[in-house]
Amino acid sequence: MKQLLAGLLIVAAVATGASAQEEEDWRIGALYPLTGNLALLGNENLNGARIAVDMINEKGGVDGHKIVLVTGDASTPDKAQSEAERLASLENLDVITGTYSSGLSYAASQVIERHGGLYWETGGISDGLTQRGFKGYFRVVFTASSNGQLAATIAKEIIARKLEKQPSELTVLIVHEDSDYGTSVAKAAEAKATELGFNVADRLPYKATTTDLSSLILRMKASGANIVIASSYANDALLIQRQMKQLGVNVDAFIGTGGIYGLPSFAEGLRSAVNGIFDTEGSAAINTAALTDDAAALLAEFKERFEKAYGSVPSYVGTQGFVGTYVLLDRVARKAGSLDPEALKQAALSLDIEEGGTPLGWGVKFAGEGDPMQGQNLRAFPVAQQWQHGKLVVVAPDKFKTADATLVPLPTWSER
Amino acid sequence: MISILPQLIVSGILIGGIYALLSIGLTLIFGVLRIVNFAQGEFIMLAMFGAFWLHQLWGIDPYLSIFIIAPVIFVLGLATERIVIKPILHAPHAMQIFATFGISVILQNLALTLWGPDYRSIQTAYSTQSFIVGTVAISASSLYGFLIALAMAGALIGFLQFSRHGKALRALVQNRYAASLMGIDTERLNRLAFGVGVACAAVAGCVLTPIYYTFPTVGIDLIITAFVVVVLGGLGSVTGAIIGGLIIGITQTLTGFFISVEFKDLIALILFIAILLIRPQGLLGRAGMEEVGMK
Repeated sequence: MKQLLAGLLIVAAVATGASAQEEEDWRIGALYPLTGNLALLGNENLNGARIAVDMINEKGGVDGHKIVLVTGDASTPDKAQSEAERLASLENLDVITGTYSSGLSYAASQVIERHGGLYWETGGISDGLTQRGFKGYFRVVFTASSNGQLAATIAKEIIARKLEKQPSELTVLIVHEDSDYGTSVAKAAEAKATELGFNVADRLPYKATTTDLSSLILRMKASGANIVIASSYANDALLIQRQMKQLGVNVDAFIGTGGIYGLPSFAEGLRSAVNGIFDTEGSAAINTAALTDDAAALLAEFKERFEKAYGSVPSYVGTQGFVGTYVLLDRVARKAGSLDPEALKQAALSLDIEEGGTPLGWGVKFAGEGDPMQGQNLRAFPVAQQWQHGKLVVVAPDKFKTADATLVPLPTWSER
Repeated sequence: MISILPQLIVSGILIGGIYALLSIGLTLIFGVLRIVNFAQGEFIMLAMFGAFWLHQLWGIDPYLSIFIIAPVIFVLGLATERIVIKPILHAPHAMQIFATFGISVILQNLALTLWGPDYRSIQTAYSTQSFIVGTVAISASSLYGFLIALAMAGALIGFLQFSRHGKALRALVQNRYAASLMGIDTERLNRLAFGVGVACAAVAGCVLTPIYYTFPTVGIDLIITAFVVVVLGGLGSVTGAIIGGLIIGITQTLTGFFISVEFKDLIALILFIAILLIRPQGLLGRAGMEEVGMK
């Protein structure tokens, strides 16, 4: 026991010694899934955050302090929790950004809230995250339910209109992977579609890791659905499309709600058959005329740096990592003048950026204490995109769109 | 509703074939070495990456790449057996689990480092093709997978029944000590069985490349059902793996359509428990096989 204590003292002494040397730098934790199942988008999200840090540092840091990201690999909820504990206790960090996935954010933010720190969420969209009444939890991105609602809204505003039919003449089927993400998006889509007067055939959950979805596709066929809204994870999205083709199931429109549906790998797996599929999430390809000059310039610089650093165009997930982190450093930390969680919380709550003021078109205004969605950015919203000629273009809302929706109804599989 | 029944049965049989394909190597390794290879899914993943790159770089069809990738993975299997499996063959069961699980983690992260976490896919003419027979659509890629599973099982059963090595392997399965007393080189046969077992995984990987995305953790998703199939069919039984695969496949498709897509695994697993209550050794397993690790 004595040896253990002595060991701990040495570790503590080394740790404080190290932090004393780096007094000039401000250290911020970055928790993302960097290995395992979620590694692709976790890394992408972090890469966006890294560009934000680089840009801030090159412009002289925050109040002369250089920003250093201390990364943690949150590949599973268990690891998210232990890494959050490590960053908070051993690395002595008060400010953590993350986490891309809602499940991981739940686990990690609990630890940080207990430590009294600030958790800055730039990716997880599950509504429940900001319904826990946490004082130190802030989410820059939109919620799952706003995404599901948008899917149902474009079914009416774009698809029903193009088909020249009333919602009551159209059948909507909602399919989703059964994790927190898929379920919350799908439930919101179901409620909104019902409210808009669509005939909602069913909401069908399935496991994202499944190796076969033929029974789901056959139920889709039996339901006679005109419009399908889908929240998927990865292989399930590819399986749905390929098995729809194999089983000859044609629909008038297919709406994916973000994630895989907005990634280049989705287009690669389907080639020309991807054209016409809708995708609701944020977008880095919005009409920049709707942005403030500063936000448009920031977006252009980010895209250029990202491509140079990582050799690919940033996806939405990378962009949300950038925007969230940039707002934290440039607007919140600068205003607070320190990394003290209390000062940061006050600075965050007083933030008031109008719509169009960030590179994703969002404004920033956090719901304050006592609000049922405390810590949620009330001015973040998803946009509707469509795959056209192998690329995603924004088709709604009008202010941000860069093209009109086409290919409604979708051609039959033999013509795609 | 009833008019869709033939389609459901056909779809169930086809996915059952895929399950069988995934399970055959696993059951062979278990039958001979009495080791549950938790890294089997990662060997499938390596083969998928192999087939992906051969197609991407030189346009080689994934089915043809079986003849390149299976031998490579076979040699990799021999090396793995020599370095990791052999030293732990008589170790406690928990240690064996950790060792093969460790291989799985190493291979996953190796793939992550080498090829990144991207979802990759290839598209061949038959990726989304299907044959229409009456009102029933038969997916071409699944049908080929099913036929390859049958051919692989046939070849393996033929090998075990008629070849000298195969007979020796069966003797080993029946009684390891008696087999070694009869002069059978058990160490060499262990290595052979592990190599052939992971080569079967390689065949499965090549067949699945046109159907699924290829990414570092794809093996986990694929192999879970295979464990169920192997136990259901009887540990160590190749024919059992085929029958087990078909039972799980058809049950899942029917319950997925008539009850709930979300519950299709649940109901297949309830059936699985029910069968094991009646036949603890699995459908075609020998009594006593299931007691591995108990002694």
